[in-house]
Amino acid sequence: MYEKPFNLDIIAPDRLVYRGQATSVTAPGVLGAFQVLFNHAPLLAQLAPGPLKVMDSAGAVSLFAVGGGFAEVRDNQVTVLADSAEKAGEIDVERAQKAARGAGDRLREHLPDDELTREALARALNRLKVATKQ
Amino acid sequence: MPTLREVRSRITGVKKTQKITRAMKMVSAAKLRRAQTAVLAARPYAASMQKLLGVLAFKAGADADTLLIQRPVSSAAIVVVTADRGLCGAFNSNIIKAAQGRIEAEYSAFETAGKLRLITIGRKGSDFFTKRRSPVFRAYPGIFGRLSFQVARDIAHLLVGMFRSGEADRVEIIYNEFKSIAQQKIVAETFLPVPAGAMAPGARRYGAEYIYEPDRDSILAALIPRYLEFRIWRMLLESNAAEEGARMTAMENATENASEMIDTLQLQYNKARQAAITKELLEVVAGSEALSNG
Repeated sequence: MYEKPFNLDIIAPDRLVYRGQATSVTAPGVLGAFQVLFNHAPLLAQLAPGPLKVMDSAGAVSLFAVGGGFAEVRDNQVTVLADSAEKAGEIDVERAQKAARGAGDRLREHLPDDELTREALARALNRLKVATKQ
Repeated sequence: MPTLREVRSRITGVKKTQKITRAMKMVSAAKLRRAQTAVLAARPYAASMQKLLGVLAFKAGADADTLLIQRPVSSAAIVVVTADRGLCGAFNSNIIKAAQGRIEAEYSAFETAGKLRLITIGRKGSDFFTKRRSPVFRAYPGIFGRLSFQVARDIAHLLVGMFRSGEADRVEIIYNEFKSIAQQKIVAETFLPVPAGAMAPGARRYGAEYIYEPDRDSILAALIPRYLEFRIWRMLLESNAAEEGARMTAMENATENASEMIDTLQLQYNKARQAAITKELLEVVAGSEALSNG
């Protein structure tokens, strides 16, 4: 449990979401979730919308909702470039619910930009999932 | 010599104008603060993104993605970022002048051949170019009131589409960079093809190969559009902050000028008043003298 710590940055387009030490990061890769520990080999991964789990040196776990993006691991520095990222406690559940409902309605109407709507739905559902896990 | 009443009404007029310019300055100051925060908040992401793309492009090679490949230029697109509103000093006219200069210097042959596409962001530029020069290919007026990332995404999409289809072999953007409140810098940058080589000068040192998930080329193909969207977004933020800075300075100058004008007018008013009193006195004295002499 008390592994060696490494540096972690979670950066969203509009702010630095998290900067600090972590002993374990579990990220939602497009090919499936993966975990990064101390001395991980250099890795460049594309992320899908999903939960990002961070464990700090004290063993406390924090959860983030990531709306897709990229993660780079190199020399014990993990950089997550997220399209959007929110800490579980900061998520606006009401807004996410509204977004999910809106996207669901639009999908049922079969509008031309289904792909975008589906992505929006995935992001909203991910937010809700992360928020309720907390 | 203007009459007393005329001078008085001019003073009131200038005072009213001053009240407005002062209020506009305050509004700009508040907006500037917000815009500045947004610019600063976008910097960490921009820096990391740029580094990542530079390293990845270096690993993959300069021809790994169409958007990286420099090809012979026989058509071009120019994006000009102006403001939506005026009353911000020479902000808009400077950027328009710079854009015209660029077009004349680099793209005049394309322009006459109809191979130059002009894209304007901001109402002022859209208005100007629609009224005058080469037809505007696409205009985005009125986006600064409520800046949304979606607009940046749309613009990036359009430009990437033009580059891919060969409608533009090179895309250049001219915008104002926010230097400080009183200073804007006009920048002309190549947007496409992506100048990835210049982005990570230290890329060579990144010896070890990454494990890629899913694979290098798909990551690159996903990263570049994301980078371009974000780049447009940053330009919009920069230009917005620069605009509010310019407006604030312009309004401050206007307020000061109004103060000076009021001082001059006040002096004029006092002189006119003095002259009137003296004249009246003279009349009274002359009248009483005439009486006592009689």
